[in-house]
Amino acid sequence: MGLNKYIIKRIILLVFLLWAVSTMIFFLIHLIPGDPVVSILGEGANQQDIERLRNQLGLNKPLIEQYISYFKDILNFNLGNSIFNNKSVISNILEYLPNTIYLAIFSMIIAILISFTAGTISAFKENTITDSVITFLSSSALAIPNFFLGPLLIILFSIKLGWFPVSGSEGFKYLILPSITLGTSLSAYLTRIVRVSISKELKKPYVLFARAKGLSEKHIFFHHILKNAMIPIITTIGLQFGALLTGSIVTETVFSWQGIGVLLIRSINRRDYPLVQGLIIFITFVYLFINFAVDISYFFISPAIRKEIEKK
Amino acid sequence: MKKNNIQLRIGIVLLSIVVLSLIIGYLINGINIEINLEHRLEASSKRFLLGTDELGRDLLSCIIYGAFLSLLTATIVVTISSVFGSSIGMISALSGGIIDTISMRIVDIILSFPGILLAIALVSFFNQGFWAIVFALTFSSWVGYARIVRSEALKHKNSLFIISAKSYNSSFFRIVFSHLLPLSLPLIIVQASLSVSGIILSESSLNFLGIGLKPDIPTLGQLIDSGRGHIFDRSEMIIYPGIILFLIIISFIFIGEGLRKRFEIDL
Repeated sequence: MGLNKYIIKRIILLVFLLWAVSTMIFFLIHLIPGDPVVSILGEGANQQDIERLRNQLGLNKPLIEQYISYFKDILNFNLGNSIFNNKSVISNILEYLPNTIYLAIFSMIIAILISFTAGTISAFKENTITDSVITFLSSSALAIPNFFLGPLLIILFSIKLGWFPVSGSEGFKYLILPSITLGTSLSAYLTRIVRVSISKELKKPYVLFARAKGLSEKHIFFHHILKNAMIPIITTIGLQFGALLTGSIVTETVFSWQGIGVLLIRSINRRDYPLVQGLIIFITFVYLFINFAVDISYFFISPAIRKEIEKK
Repeated sequence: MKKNNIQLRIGIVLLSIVVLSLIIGYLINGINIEINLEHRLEASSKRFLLGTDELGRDLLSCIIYGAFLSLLTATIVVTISSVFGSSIGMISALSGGIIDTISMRIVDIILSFPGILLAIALVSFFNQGFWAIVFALTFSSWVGYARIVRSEALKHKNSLFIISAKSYNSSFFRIVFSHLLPLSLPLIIVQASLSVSGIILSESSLNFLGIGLKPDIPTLGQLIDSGRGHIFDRSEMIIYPGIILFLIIISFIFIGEGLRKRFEIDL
């Protein structure tokens, strides 16, 4: 199987999942007990308002018709309008998205810095006390919820030391604590993967051979070991984007960082169903596309995987 | 099987200490989570050992109540999802064909949602409540068991011992319950113990975000959330429930990892 065939197969799977996920979200909203219109307007709303909103949301049409128009809308990137501010769902998302992207990028940078340093040290000092301490710390980072670590950092760095602002999203200064919070939890898992994949490579004969050839340790590490260890690490980074997307919901809430996570929780509390639906579709689609990109990237990074795919 | 397993031991000891101190706290202090607005935000005293929260509830009672609620939620979710997921996996593997394809596609679809987003979606479209949370978390966690049990059953389905069991007319149930299921059991146990920490984390996150249980029911997530309003003057409102939550989660991580190593399973 060549590259083209592999990519086509992955695209078919992607399209299927996009369809299935949006269908599931559609039925979630339409088959739940209770009337969304009533819960948006509250129990005491008068019949006229209920009918008007029902018309506006298209909920009075037969289910099949709603389903078809729902798909037409998705294909046209039209996710409806927010009930709360009447702007389109897309423009709401675009307004909040940059903040989430900044947070994602900075937390990922922090996570990569922490995990490559800690994981490499751990791998080189395998089964020593240093290794155990790093392993224990990464388990702790995995166990500490973002909504606990965040306030702890605020207490320490904002209230006691006064270095960073408590919350808000007015500039770079406001980004640091949220990024450390999210980056720490991301680094937990990544550290283990870095440690395992580097220590696996360290034991391979080519390392011994390279040393025998007299290559410097630095050269061996950066040109040979790291390159081979990258595959599982990149996979994990790719898959961690899911954790990044949902982790940012909690972290943004802790720091009132105005990203799409805050927007999602706010619209859930306001019962702004079109916006909630749009955000869930958007976040899931982004996640699926990233996974798709990770899968395709194997092909270019690893000759071994490429050969395996080509053989099939 | 590795015998000397420090992680597993630390996990079990830590969890026992936490649970025991919660029980002792309950026995000494009792549980009183009634809202009492006359006693809002009181400092610690003989009557309220850790003080009160912004609704005038005894903070210690709230923490004990919330911790047990988390453990209860996790127990129910793990039980339902392991039984349901394993059954689907087993049925899928043994029947094959269209049933297998459909159930595995459903698994793929559920796995397409990142992290707790699916649970957030489910909880936000349903009404708030304990069973809504249980349903939402079960919905996203049964798929793990289905995948594992399916692949384990597929591996052994055509083994010699199954064929010979069939040859002397073992019933379908006998093959499943005394041959295939015991082989998958270590995998199910490891998956269950590894998933507990994630479930407790998701449950408390939903409550922290205010889309879980109603705020008059104390949960660790909700306690931390309400403590954020008093971060300047009473940071212990965040720190105490946070530490308990952290200890519960980390002991389950150790237990899960320890069991995984003990059974030498690579999940």
